[in-house]
Amino acid sequence: MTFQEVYGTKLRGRVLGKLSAKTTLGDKLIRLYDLDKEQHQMYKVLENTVKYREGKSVLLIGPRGIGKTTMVNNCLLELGSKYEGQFLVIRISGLYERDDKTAIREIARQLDFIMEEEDDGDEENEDVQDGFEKVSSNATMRMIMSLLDRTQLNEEEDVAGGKREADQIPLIFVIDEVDKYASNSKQTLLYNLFDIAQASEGRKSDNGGGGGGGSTLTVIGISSKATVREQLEKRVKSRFSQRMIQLNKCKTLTDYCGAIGCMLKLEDDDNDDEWVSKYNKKVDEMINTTGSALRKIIVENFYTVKDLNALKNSLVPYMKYGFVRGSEQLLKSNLEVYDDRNFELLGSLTELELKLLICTARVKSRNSIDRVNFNVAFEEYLKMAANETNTLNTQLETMGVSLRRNGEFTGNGYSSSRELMLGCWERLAEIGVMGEPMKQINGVNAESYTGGEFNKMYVCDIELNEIMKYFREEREEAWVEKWCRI
Amino acid sequence: MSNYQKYEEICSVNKFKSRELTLISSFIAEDWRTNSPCLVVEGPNSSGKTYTVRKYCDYLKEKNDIDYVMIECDYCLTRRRVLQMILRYMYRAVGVDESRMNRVANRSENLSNFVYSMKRVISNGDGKKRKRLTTQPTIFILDRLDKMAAGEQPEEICTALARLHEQSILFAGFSFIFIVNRADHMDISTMSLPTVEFEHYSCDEIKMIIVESFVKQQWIEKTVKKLNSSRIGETQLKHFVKSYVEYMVDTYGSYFGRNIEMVVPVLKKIWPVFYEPVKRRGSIKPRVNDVLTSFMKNKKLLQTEMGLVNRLEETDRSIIEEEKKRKYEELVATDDNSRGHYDLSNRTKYLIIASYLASFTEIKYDMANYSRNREMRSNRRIRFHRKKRYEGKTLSSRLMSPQPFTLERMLAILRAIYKEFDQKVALNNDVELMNEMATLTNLKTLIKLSGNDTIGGGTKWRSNVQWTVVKKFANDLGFKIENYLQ
Repeated sequence: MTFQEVYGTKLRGRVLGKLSAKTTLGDKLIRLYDLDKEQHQMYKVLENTVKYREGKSVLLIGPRGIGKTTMVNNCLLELGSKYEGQFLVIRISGLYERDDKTAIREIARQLDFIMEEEDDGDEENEDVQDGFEKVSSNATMRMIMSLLDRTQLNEEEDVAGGKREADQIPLIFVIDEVDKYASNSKQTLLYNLFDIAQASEGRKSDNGGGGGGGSTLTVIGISSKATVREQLEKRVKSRFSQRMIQLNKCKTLTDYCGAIGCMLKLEDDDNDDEWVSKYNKKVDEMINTTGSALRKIIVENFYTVKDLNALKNSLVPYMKYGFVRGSEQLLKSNLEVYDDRNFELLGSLTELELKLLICTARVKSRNSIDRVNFNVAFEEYLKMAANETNTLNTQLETMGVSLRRNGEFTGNGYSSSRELMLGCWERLAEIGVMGEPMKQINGVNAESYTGGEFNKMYVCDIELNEIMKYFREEREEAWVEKWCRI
Repeated sequence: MSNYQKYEEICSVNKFKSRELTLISSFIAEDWRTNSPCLVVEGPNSSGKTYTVRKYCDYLKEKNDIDYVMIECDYCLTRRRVLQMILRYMYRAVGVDESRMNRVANRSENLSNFVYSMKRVISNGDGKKRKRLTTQPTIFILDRLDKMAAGEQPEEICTALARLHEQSILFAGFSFIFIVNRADHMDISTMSLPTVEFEHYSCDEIKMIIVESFVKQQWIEKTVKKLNSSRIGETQLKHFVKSYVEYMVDTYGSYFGRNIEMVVPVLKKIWPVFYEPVKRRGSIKPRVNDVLTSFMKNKKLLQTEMGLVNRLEETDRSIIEEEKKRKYEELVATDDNSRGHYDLSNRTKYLIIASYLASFTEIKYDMANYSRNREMRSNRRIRFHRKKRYEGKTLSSRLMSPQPFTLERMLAILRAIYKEFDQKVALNNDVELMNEMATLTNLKTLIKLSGNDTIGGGTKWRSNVQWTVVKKFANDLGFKIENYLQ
C-alpha cells in the first residue's frame, strides 16, 4: 500500500472531518490549540456547579471561529463523562431565539423534552399545556421562574407537579450569541438567569455547600462582541458574577502555524500509526517550509484577516483533491471573499449597461452629486454616443466614406433607444451596482411610488477612475477608457 | 473507482464549470461527516449556478442515493414559507403523516419554532427512515435566497441555517446550499462560510450551450417534418440553426452580454425572418436563403431594436408584421402623421402642462412667471438669473424628479397660462375640471402623494410626464413652455 492509497481511503475522510464546520457538533472532543488554560478555567466553573452546587455566570468572549463553542462543548463532554446524569444542559442561541420570549419558550420546551425522556413512553403527549410550555409567553416565564427560583411561595411547587427531581439537578445554560439578549432595553432573560445564578451562589455560602433549597444555575454566555459586558444594564451587571473568559487570536505567526498544524494533523489513535505519523510529518513540512504554497497562504491570511475558518475553507479543496498529487493550484487564497463585488460584476455587464454605468459615474463626478436618476444618465449617454458617432464619421470622411444618410444625420446616429436603455438601467439596479439611497423620496415611500423607473434616484458607488483601472488591468477594451475620460 | 476518475466524472456534470464543481464537490459530497453544513454559491445572473448545483445533486443522487431538495425562495416569498418547505420535506423523509402532526407543522413562523418542530418530526419518525436521515447527507438547495420579498432578511436565515447542526445531533447530516447573486449584501463575511464564486459564460460557450441544449432534437425533427422537403435534412437544418445563433449572438452581443435568458426570447422572435425564406423555397441554398443572405437582406430590420424591445401593445405581433408596419409607416410618413394623434382636449393638455410647470418651477418665481402684472413687477435680476441657469452647463432641472405641489397652486398656474393663450373657451372651475384631474390621476399622469383625501388642501400632487411629452403638447397648443422653466 502506498501513502496515496492510504490517504485516499482512510486518512482523507478524517482530515476533511476536522476541517469541516461540523466540529461544533459537540459529539466528540476537539483538540484546540493553546486554549488549555481557558478550557480548564471553564471546566472548573462547571465542575463546581455540579460538585458543590455553586452557581456562576460566565461570559466567554472571542472573535468568530476561535473555538468558543467548541471549547464549551469540550468542557461539557468531559463533565458528562465524569458526572453522567448529574446535571442538565439547556442551550439557547441568539441566532434562533431572537428575543426573550422565544428564548423562554425554548427553555420550557427543552425542559419538557427532558421530562418526557425521563418519563419514558407516553410519547403521544403533545398537549403542551401539560408541560412547562404555556400558550402565553408570560405564563411560561412565570412557570420557569417559579421552578428555578424555589425561594418563592410553596404553592408554586404544586404547579410544577411531580417534576421536583429536575430542579434538584444543577442546570447549565449555554447561551450562544448572548449579545442579542443584551440589546433590548429590559434584558429580562439575562436579569432573571443571572439573578437565580447569584442566589444559588449566595445560598451555597449560607448552607455550607449543602445545595440549599433552590436549583443551582450556571449561565455561560458566548459572544463575539467584546462590548457585551458594557451593554448589560446596571441591575443586570450587578447580578453577573463578573467572570469573563476572553479568547484572542494568535499573536505570532509561529502560534498561528501551530494552530493550523493542530487543525490539520491527526491524532494517532488507531492502528494506522505509521501512516498517520507520515502524514503529520508531511503537513508539518508543508507548513514550516518557507515558500511553499500552503505557507504562502497561511502568511497571507495571518497578515490580513487572521481567520482560521476562512483558511479552513480554502484548505478543503486541496486536502480533498490535491494533497497527494501535490497540485498546488487548488490552494487558492480565500481573500476574494472580501473583494468588492461591484468590480467583479463589471466584467459581466453588457456593453450597453457598462456605457450607462459610465455615464452615471460621469454625471456624478462632473456635477458633484451623489444621486442620479435615469433621465440624467440617459441624457449623458446620448451625448456620448453622438460624440462617438461624430468622431467615427470624421474619421470615415477623411477616407471618403460617409455615414450620413442623405444629409439627415441627426447626431444621435447609433445610440440605443430609451426603452432599451431603461431595461439596462433596471438591470443595473437589480444586480446591485446601484442602490436605492433611502426608503423615502421627497416624503413618499419608494415602495408605493409608481412614477416610473426614470425618476427614481439611485446611488452609485463606482467612480470613473475605478472603472478605468479595472478595465486597464483586466481586459483590453479601448472604448472604455475613452468614455471614462471627462 | 479511483479518486481521479471520480473527479473527472464530477467535472463532466457541466463541462464549462469544472473549477466551480471542484470546489462544490469538496464541500458537499457523499459523506455527511466531511460535508460542510452550508455552502454559499454566488455569481451573476445566468452564470449556471442553479443548473450546475442541481446537476451535481442529481449526480450524487444517482451515484450515492443522496436526497436533495430544491427550494425556490423567490417563489416562496417569505421566510416562513421557506422553513415550511424544509419541514414538509422532513415529514416525507421520515414518513410521518402530516395531518397527525399538523399542529406542530404550522409552527414554522420563526426559527425557534422551526427547530422545535423539526426535532419533533424527526424524533417521531419511522425508525429506519430516521436512521437514514441521520447517517446520510441531505442537501437543501435554497435557490435565489436573496430574491425573497423585501424585508425578509435572508441573512438571518442564512446564518441560522449555517449553524443548524449545533442545535441538535439530529441535524448533523444536513447541508444547505445558498444560491445568491451577491454574498456581500448579506453581511455574512465574518461567518467565513465557504463560498463558491461563479463566473459568467464566455460568448463562445453561450453559443455552444444554446445550440446544444436549447435546440432540442425533437424540435429539429418536427421542423424537418413540417418543411416536408426532401432537400432539407436534419444535419443541414442543424447547421443552419447553428450559424443563425452565431450571427444573432454576435449582432446583439452588446445588449445581451452574457445572459442566456435574454438571448433565447430574441432568437425566438427573430427566427421567422430567417425561417420563412427557407420554408418558401423548400431548400437551403447558399447566396439565396442561407443565414448570411437573409441577414444582409434584412439588415435594416435587424439594425432597429425591434427584436429586443418589447412594447406592451406589440406583444402579439410577429416580427414579420412589424416589418410590414414599419415599411408602411415609412411610406405614409407625412406631416399629419408626425404631429401626433393623441385624443386629448386642449384643456387636458393645458392641465398637463400646468402640472408639469408646477412640478418643475419653484414657488419663488411664480409671481414673476404668472402674475398678470408680470411686466411691471418683473425683477430683472431674477429673469436674467433664470435664463442663465437654463442655458448653463449644469444639470437641467427637468431631468430630476418632479417636486410636489398643492392643488391650488396648479389651478392658479392653469388659469394664468390658459388666459394668456386660449381665450376662446372660458375655463370654468366646474365638476368637469375635477373629473379630468381624477382621470389623469387614474392614468398616473398626475400622482397624488398621500392619503384618501381627494382635493383637500393638504394633499400634494405631482406631475408624472416626461419632458418630451409635455414639449409635444406645448407645441400642439403653440405654447412656449421654455419661457416658464428656470
